Amino acid sequence: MGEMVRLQIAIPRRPERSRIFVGLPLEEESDLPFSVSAPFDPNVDRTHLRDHNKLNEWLIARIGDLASAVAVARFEEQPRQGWWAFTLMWQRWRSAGLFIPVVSRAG
Amino acid sequence: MSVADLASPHGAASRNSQAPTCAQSAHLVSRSHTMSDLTSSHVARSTAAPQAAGLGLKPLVRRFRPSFATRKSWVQIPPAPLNALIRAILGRSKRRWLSTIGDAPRHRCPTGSTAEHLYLCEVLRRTGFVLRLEDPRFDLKFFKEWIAGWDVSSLLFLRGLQHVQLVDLDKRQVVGDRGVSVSKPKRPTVSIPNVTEVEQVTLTDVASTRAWTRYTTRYPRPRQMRATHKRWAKWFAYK
Repeated sequence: MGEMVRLQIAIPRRPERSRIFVGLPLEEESDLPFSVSAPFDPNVDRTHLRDHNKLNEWLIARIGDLASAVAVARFEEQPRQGWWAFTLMWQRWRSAGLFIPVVSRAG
Repeated sequence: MSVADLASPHGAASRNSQAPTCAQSAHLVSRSHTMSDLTSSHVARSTAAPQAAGLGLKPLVRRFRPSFATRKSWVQIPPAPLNALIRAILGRSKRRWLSTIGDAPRHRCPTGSTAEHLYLCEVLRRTGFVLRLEDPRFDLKFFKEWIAGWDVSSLLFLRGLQHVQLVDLDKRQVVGDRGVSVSKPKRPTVSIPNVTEVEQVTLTDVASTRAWTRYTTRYPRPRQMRATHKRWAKWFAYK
């Protein structure tokens, strides 16, 4: 194995726009409920992550490990705030404009 | 901490002309213990979201390249704009600059300090960068707006830098302030394979009620996975 890499996530107290950082923020769009920072491999002008990059894919998977473990821990310690660390599927649909709320009441 | 004086951002350009005149001055003060965060990268100002402005001198150069600094002086050396600026202007090597910052005793000004330096060192007790700018556009108002433009969340993941202030040294007044206060680290019980410990801190915006809980961990990186620029660096080293 190589050197140790530092992975970080920052969960806001109130929901707000999240960003992807390589120390400093990139211009990469993110719909995660938290910001993440890792030694990703950015493009030359350091605005976006490189696509189809093994290092980035590996780091994103490790960020996923960290985020899921933190979410479990937060549910145990602060159940009300546990959901803030999750991205729900319907939130993604809504942000993509695909979610149409339907309310039906029988009778 | 120590105080560094960036004599003139026009340094390289003004060497060819007459002695520089210090028409404008702005003063950036930070609670920075190392230079690593400032020299590491850049963040461009996002046009889509005004709040997404970041930290660094690169945006300044992008917008005002002809007058802020010549291309020859330091723009060509990303992604370390401040580092490059320092090397271009002062003609100092990176190592010497960093050792000056890192080895200086806390709250002690370097010998030959001016009254401005003494104020920064002894009153504010912070690392300061005194910028003397010749172009009239880069006045205190400009930097005030520049600092107001970036979001405090840019400081979330910086190891050494948590607080930046713009100080009007003539009036001894803080005119721009962006910073987060960091709580003592905790060790939450988080179980992740191949990870021994996770650190948790709370960061609070000094100017609002915004707050974040930051979790940090370390993973062993597979040896074959390296960032592109590091792979190139290794290749060039072998060449």
